[in-house]
Amino acid sequence: MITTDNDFDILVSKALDSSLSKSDSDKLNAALKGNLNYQRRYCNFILQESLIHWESPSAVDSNEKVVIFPFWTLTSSIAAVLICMFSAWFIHGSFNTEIVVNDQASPISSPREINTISTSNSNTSNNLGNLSFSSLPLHSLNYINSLAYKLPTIDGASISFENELPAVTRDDELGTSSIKGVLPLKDNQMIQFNEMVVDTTSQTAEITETLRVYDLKNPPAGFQNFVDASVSFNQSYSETSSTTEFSLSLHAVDDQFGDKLIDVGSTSHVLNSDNDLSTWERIDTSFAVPEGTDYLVVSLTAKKYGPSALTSHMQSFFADELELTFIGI
Amino acid sequence: MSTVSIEYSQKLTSIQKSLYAFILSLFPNRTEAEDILQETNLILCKKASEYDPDGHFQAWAFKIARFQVMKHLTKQKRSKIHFSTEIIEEVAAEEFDSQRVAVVQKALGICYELLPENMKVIANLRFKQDFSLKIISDKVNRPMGAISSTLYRIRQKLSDCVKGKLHEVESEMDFRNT
Repeated sequence: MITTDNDFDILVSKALDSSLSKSDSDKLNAALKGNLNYQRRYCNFILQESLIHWESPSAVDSNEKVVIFPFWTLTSSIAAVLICMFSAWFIHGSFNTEIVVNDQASPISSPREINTISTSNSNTSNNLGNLSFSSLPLHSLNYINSLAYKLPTIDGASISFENELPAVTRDDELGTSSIKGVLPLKDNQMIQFNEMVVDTTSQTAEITETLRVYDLKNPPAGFQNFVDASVSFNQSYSETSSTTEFSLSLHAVDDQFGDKLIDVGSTSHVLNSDNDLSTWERIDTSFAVPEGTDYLVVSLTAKKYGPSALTSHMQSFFADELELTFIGI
Repeated sequence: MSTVSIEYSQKLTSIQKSLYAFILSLFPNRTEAEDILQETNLILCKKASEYDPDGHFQAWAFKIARFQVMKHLTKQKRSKIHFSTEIIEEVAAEEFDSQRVAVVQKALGICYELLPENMKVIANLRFKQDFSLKIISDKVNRPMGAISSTLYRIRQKLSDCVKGKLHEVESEMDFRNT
């Protein structure tokens, strides 16, 4: 039985934090039933809560772009301790790091680059608590650290050799067979994007999948610092007949002195898909890998705008035949 | 699928905050409320041709939202809290009128900045970064009960402050509009 406004407010607060017990829930129900005063009070709290929630997150300073990794002592006696600590940070995604971002494109230009490269920092979602402050796609740092420190990968990603290069890949993790009327382009597997993150304020929905991270620290002899990449996209049927913007992005990352990561160049190529399940749209791009690049991050993005963004969860988005050719290897 | 005109789309966009707040009031769980909001938006798009341009768009949209919440409740029994049908029918849609929402939002912006620094840290983690009590508790190294109490105090402080600022903000907005 609720006797004071404070008791009532405590219950509402708990409800908003999803920490309300069944009996508290019954109390709240009973208090609200037929009581205009409490209903109004409740609505005020809810309105306040939803409006705070609607405000765009400001906790992260977008100018804060330098990522400094924790100082690593190399003495073997404490290496194990450090690895444990690092693993813990890794699991919780809370690196005490900063990142330096160079917004410029790759300093190496090439005739092949001109038509295909539109420099962009394909920032990802609003997933705070991870690495959203970085210009690199989500989880890139985790995957880079998996390669650098031979740590286990997260999210079902696996470490393997792709094109004779050590790489973290998520192709298998995101792999699916035919689904929602969409058939894979070749063989019986394709990549399915996770559900889009919807921003109802701006009416956009977006998902970026960091699909592969290549270790380019010691590339095989003959590598000409040039990468050709291609991928095809498709989407399931949409009642709104809306198109989806798909993009393929490559980021060159320099692991400076082992304590800083610098995004030294990137390319992002965009296409708008049609609404035909039977056809796949293909992106081809080339990228001149800047000197000093230690890692190459490959990510795919699907994005929707306008009212159809609000119903993006009704649709599925796919990629297939992601091919990277490291020229000279 | 009905064709959605630009005017209709604008109306739909302009009530998103009110609509979300209204749905959250009937189903106090952010994730579920967002799902219901999306479902409601989809229905509203589908029913665009049925809308009478002379009618009250928000009232019409809220009616559909209320129905969607009820539909969701019959499917979704897992949530710890869900209100009875009577309460869902009783909650007054007028509390979430777009104009009132705009005034409250302005006042809230001012009040949020006035929060003491220690409260602001917790508020940012909960409201802006959407962390659960458990994660906040781990991050700030305080028990979950203490976090829950702090959030209750923050909500009360904001509510009191907003009440105090409403008149001032309303007058300022009226002045600007004239």
